[in-house]
Amino acid sequence: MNLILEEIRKQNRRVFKNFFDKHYKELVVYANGYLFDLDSSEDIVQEVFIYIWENADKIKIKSSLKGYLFAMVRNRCFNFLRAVKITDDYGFLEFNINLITEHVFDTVTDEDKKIVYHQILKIVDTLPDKMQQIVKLKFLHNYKYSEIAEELGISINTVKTQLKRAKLRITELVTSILILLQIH
Amino acid sequence: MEFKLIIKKLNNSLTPEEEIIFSKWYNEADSHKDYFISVKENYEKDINHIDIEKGWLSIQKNINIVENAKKNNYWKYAVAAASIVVLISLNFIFNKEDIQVSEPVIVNNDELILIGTDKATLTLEDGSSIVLEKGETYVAGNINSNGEKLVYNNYNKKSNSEEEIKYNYLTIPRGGQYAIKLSDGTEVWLNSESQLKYPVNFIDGKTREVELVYGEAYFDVTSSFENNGSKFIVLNKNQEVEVLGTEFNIKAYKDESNIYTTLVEGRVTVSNSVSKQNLTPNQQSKICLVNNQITVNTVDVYGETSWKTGFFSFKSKTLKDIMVVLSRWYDVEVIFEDKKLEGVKFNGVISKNEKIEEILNLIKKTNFITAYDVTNKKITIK
Repeated sequence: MNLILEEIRKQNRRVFKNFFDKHYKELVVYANGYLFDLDSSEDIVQEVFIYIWENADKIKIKSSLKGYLFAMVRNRCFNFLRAVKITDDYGFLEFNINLITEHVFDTVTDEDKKIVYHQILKIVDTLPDKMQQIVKLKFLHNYKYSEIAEELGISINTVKTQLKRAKLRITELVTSILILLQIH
Repeated sequence: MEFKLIIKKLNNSLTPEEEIIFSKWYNEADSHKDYFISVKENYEKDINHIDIEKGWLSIQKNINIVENAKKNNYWKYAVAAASIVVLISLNFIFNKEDIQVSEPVIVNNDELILIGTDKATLTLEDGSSIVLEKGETYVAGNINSNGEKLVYNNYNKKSNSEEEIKYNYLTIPRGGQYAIKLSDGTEVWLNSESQLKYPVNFIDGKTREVELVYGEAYFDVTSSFENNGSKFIVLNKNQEVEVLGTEFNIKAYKDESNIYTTLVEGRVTVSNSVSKQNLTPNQQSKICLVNNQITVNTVDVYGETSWKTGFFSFKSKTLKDIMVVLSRWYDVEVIFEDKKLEGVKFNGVISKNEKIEEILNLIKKTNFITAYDVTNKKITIK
């Protein structure tokens, strides 16, 4: 039984507030990875918190409440993308989000991950060695920033910066590989 | 539409077919335009500040409303409305069609054009040569090769100055590439049609000297600190690059009138008979062989050195320049029937594992060239 959820069911505002304080920012960053709009991202995350408060009785969770929260935000982001007719079959958004947030999805199977990774693998292999190592630890091994920092003996900030740079480079390459474009 | 196309649009790299799909999507609804603008404005931006207090207030307000009055069914309506949109959009997504404009391509397979591969010729101090190839290993004394990289294994045992320095050559043919690790631990990646001359051993305390006789090479030089202070010099007929431990790329092809040195990390000094220039990372020096002038520019280092990682990256390069690079890797000759086409500029990244036909088709797809034909390893662009 999940203690936090239990308290929220009893409409314990203090626990709910703590829970909110702890996860709000990370969830907004996460949603923004799909929506690229801070206001909409905040709206979606707020909706999810309100939903949890109002429907705590009905919620059944398999793993953690935090995981449930992320899954709900993700579903809503997907709904948003569907509404603007955007698909991500290539796993491009998913991959980028994985690089910029700590949360790792239980719902994404290792098998799925391998497929996504395989598509991007060739590109990751072209990154500088250190950057490559960080991306692999993060994406394939689900390391936290602090764990990567410790493993490689570098600062957490370096890890974050490297991941951000990796994201930009991967973006550049994913979209341009095998592409020649005439320019004027 | 795939999200990827938005990024391609932002990078200006949509193919004509994709451009059609994109415009259709973009013009379909204002919400699509809004989303595109959001991505455009925020894709590379970090979120500076998230106001937790404001977020909490807004939640509190909504919770209170629910508590005070049961009338609030707003969210349910919102959800219902959203699912209608979802149903409509699914129909659209499954209706997309691919548009192909194609013209037959004449390819006479008299002699097949192969994708370049790992290969090189090692010339020993006695003048004998050994062919190194992908899949073939070679071991002799302190030298070994796994078919991709040649390694000199005497990292700590340096010759003393009494001994005569012995030189070996590594020669990469057209259609080849190879890597080498020198006895001081310095690594060099050699591009097609290149030759490196280097000592089998470096003399302790003396300047380490190698020569890029011709062609293109990427150097990752071990620091002078690890080598008793010995600096490292890369010679070439027309220039000299002095380094203290760093990564850089030199391009000095026989059939080109400029020598380019691109610094990735560290610091190097490029000099010729006339002048001398220091480079800082991301800078590239260009020596014009006609007047010996050295000029320095900031360049896209990643693009300049991408060949080493299995890609060719072209930024605003003319078709002629692109074809020169491709002709070395695929060992082909390229002829422009219409000379005007030589100057057409392209952007793009190509995997070195692609077949040449794929690449030619890509170029053709831009509708700039109308056709090409391939006969006996000779490509004619029309």
